[in-house]
Amino acid sequence: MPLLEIKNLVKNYTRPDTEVLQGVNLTVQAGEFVVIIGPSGSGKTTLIRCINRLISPTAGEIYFEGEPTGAYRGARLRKLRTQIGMIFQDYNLIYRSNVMQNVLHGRLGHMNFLRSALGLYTQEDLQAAQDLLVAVGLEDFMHNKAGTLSGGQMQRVGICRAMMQSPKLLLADEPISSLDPASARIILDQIKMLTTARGLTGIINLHQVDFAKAYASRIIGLRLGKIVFDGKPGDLTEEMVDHIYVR
Amino acid sequence: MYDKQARIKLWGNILFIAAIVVVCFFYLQLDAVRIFTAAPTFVSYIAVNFFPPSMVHVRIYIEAVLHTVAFAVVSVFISMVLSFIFALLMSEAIVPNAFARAVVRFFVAFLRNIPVIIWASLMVMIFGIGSMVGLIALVLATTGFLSRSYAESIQEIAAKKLEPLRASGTGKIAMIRHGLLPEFTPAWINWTLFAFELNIRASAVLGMVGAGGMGVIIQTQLSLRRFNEVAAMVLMLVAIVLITEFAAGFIRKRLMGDSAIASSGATAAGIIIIFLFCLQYLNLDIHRFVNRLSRAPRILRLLADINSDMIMPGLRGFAASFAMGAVGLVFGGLLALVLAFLAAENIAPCKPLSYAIKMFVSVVRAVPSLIFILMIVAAIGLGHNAGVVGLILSSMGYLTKAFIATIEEQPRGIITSMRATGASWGQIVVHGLLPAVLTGFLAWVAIRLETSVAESVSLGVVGAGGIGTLLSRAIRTFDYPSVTVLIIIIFGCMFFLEMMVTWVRRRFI
Repeated sequence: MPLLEIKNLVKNYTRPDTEVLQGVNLTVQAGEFVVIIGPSGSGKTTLIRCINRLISPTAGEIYFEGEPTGAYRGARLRKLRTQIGMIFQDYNLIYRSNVMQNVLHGRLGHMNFLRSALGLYTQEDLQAAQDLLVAVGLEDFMHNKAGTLSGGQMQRVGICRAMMQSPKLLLADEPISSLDPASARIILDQIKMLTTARGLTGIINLHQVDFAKAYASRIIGLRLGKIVFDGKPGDLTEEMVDHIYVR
Repeated sequence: MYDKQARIKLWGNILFIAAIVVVCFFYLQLDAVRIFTAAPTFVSYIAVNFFPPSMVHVRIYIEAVLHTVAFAVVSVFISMVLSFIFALLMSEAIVPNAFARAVVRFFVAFLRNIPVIIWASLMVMIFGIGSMVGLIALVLATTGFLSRSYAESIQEIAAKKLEPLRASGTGKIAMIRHGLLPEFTPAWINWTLFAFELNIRASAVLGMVGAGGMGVIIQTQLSLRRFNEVAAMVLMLVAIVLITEFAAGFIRKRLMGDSAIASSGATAAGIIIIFLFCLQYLNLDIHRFVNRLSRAPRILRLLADINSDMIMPGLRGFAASFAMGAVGLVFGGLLALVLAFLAAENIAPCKPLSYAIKMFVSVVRAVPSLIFILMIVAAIGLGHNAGVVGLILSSMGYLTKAFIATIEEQPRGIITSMRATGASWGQIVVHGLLPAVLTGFLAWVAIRLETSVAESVSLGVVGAGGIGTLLSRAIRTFDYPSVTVLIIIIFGCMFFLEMMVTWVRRRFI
């Protein structure tokens, strides 16, 4: 059974002629590291946000571990989301809370109402958060306010927060677009390292084709809301890249 | 400015505003000579009659001032709690149902668009006089204001910061607690302190409609022409407003820098203790209020009627109020324009003059416009002219401070580089600073328009004409169907005005 199966996914915003996704079909097996490339406006962000339903699709169905997720609401939807980690382009940290607190936020969805409202994390959670921060080299910043970190450091906190969920699937929406090349490489290395070590499945949106080729086990090319390429990094020819990005 | 089209546009705008002012003048049958000679008359009248302030009853005054502060504390505290709840209910991240959000939004808009003095008059009409009705009026108006401000801040935070928590399946309460609250703290401090500053001034005038506080003493003393006593009270009010502003500025700086203090349990406990202390000090007439509650249903039933004969006079009344507000704003803005360039410290031609202007403006700002009007009425008599003069003063005070802040934000480079070319003060202002600050100024004027019209409506309650005067007459004569019509007109027109201003700000600024 595939981990994720997307069937005929359509999304349009308000006017019917502005279809962002025009019938996307995609099957992802557990353990894959999928990179989605495509120009701005090709629907990458919409696609990835439909998977954890931050955006509701207009039509089509998404199966997670064989279960259709379209009808999920309330608690059931939250349960689905706890199993899917997400990393954001602008990190979206709570600047005025410290690094440790931000990482622990990944745990909130797993906790019962009272414990989460009061922020009563278990000893294991605290230890896990600390271990993650050590793994990404931020152990010295644990008690610093998130707002005082550099962009690269913030994104590493973002990775830890997503990992804290112990997700089955990791989504990343252009995680390196706001970073310089050196920090970008560190971030992708760490995402790759952590997903491999935990046997996670990753779906990453990227702008940069060379990074995609270096890290992906499979590349999806998205153009005007349709998948125009789906294959191994080695099969992605120059002509194909031109087709995806140009005109 | 050398672009021909830009020039035409600029002159077009100036002519447009001038035309509005002329129309307003004729509509209100204002006496331009009287208005422009009113300032010296007013100043000399004050100088002759109000000085020296009499400190005979100083104990009573201090008590009245403390009451005013306690009123502000209690009303802001209650409004703060209510507003946070309303703001959450207006937030898409918390309440996904658009219709439910719209209902809350409309309710809050209703609270906000009725000026506080009108709320107070209404409450007095329904429940009779007393301090409890004053408190309720303050809470209603403040909740309207704070809910909107909080909601805007929450919306900004929710757009980005809450998404990760949502994406990880976090429940709503935990999302508020861990995502929203930490990021909301600075905005919360800022808006709440601002509301406190506003409420000190507002609670000082509530007494004029019988809703408790120092306003009633000022009004009585004015009508008895005991001007020296009035002067003493006004001076104390000015002092307390300035102290509050200073303290608020201090707290802002202190708490913004260190969120640990702001969100600590000790701070929360401190605020609650101060609230309870003030509540105790106010010694509210809750019993009387509760006894009168039984009257409310009957009066509300009476208010359900509508006097359709009042619609046209009401609309004309609002037009007059709007015209007064607009004229006050335009002239106040022009005065502020001159004063601000003379006072902003990076361009001020003469230091002592700059300090003098800043001090003058602080004092003018500290006096609620209603009290100004009463003093002006004492000097030049009742009617539109007095109203306009008061509105000019209050708009001038507000805008001068805002303009100065905008000018002082400008990088020093602009001024230095122009000075280096040998440009004069006037040239630097006209060619260097004015283009840089003009949009900022217009934004302030647009924001002020709402307040100016709201003040103009309020002024009517003390007899300066417009819809406020119609309303207070209807209230005094227990003409309930007319009251309903007038309230609806005030709300509708103010709401429309608010939407227009929001639209203009989005479109042009």
